[in-house]
Amino acid sequence: MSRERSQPRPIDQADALRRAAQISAAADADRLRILSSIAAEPAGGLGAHQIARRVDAEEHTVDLQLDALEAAGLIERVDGETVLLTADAWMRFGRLLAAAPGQAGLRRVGDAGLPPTVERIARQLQYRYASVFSPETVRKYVAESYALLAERARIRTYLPTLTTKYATDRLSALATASGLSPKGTPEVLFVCVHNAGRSQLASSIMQHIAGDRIHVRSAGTAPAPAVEPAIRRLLDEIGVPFAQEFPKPLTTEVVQASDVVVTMGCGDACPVYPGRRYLNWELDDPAALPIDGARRVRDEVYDRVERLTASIT
Amino acid sequence: MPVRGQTLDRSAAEEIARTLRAVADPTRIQMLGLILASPTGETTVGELADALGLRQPTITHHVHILVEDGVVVKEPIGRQVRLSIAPARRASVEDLLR
Repeated sequence: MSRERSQPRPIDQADALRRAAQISAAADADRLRILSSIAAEPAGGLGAHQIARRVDAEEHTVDLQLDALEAAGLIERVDGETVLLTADAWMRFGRLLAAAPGQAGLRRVGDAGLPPTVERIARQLQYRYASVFSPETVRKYVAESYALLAERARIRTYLPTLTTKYATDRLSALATASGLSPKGTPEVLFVCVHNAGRSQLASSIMQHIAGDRIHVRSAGTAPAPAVEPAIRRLLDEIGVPFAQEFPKPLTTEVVQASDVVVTMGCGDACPVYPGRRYLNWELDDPAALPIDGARRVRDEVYDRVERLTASIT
Repeated sequence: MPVRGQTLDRSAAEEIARTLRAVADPTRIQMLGLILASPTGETTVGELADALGLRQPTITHHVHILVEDGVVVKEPIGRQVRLSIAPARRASVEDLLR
């Protein structure tokens, strides 16, 4: 037992498989040149036709390569047009891709001088990981993630989003490795319009039922300033603690990080990525109903969450 | 206004692709992770086999592929062969395993 503890633990099998698949997807000269053409672009993103010109290839072949890179989580297409590198791509391949000397210089990030956006990310993650890590640990990871990405990415525009994504990945990996959260925990995302009613009910209930067995998140396509006051009461009536989430905007990272995405009254606005399970629950907005109606919605949410939880754990 | 960098030329891209192919295997990723995580930066085939629950010939096969590409360096010390990450590759390997 004590011997085991002193030995470094190997990366777990599932994680190793995922990384191998991602590295395989990049292990091709044409794809590497495509990635490097995007990495080299100070404006932050390129269209497929521009990439095709830079790597001297046909646009339709570039499109096929981009599909493979997107499936591996190395690029993302925004507005169906501009191609961006993901945080994973910057972190794992950024230095390899930076063939050109004179790359944007190494940005030293002192502990005192984090930009305000990065401080905000640290606060958000301190909140999210409050039960697992000390605020200092979370801030250290965010600062480090930012420094690592700033070293690699030539552009600054997407740095905050990349930092959040990367710091979250590292923190959840650290939590898993430290036995603080179980391995391969499914990620479930509830989305409604305001992230103030239905998605808050669903996420609090699932958190309560599943505990550590599922990572639950919620978001809204047009987040309200605060959670509907009735929600806390509706939850309290059935003995479910309110998960203490504030209404958050729906971002591509959070969708990409999810295994199951449940939309409630906002189906069309939720971006669809391959490999995720999408569910659409037709539910009335409890905020627009008298209390009895709101209770019926809550009970309906409870039943659905219970069935969903049973199906994924 | 930052200046645009350069797209990798084909020969540089081929070379990187070769290294990535050598690394892109779950067992080899686990092996590299263990070497990086070991306090001395070195390990042996026997230790890797123990840690991963695999037979030594299996590990030897993977070591061969990594040595061939120059990612891993073998150094005989007495009757043992110590394995470490080639210093020039260490940063890239760390990145790939982040």
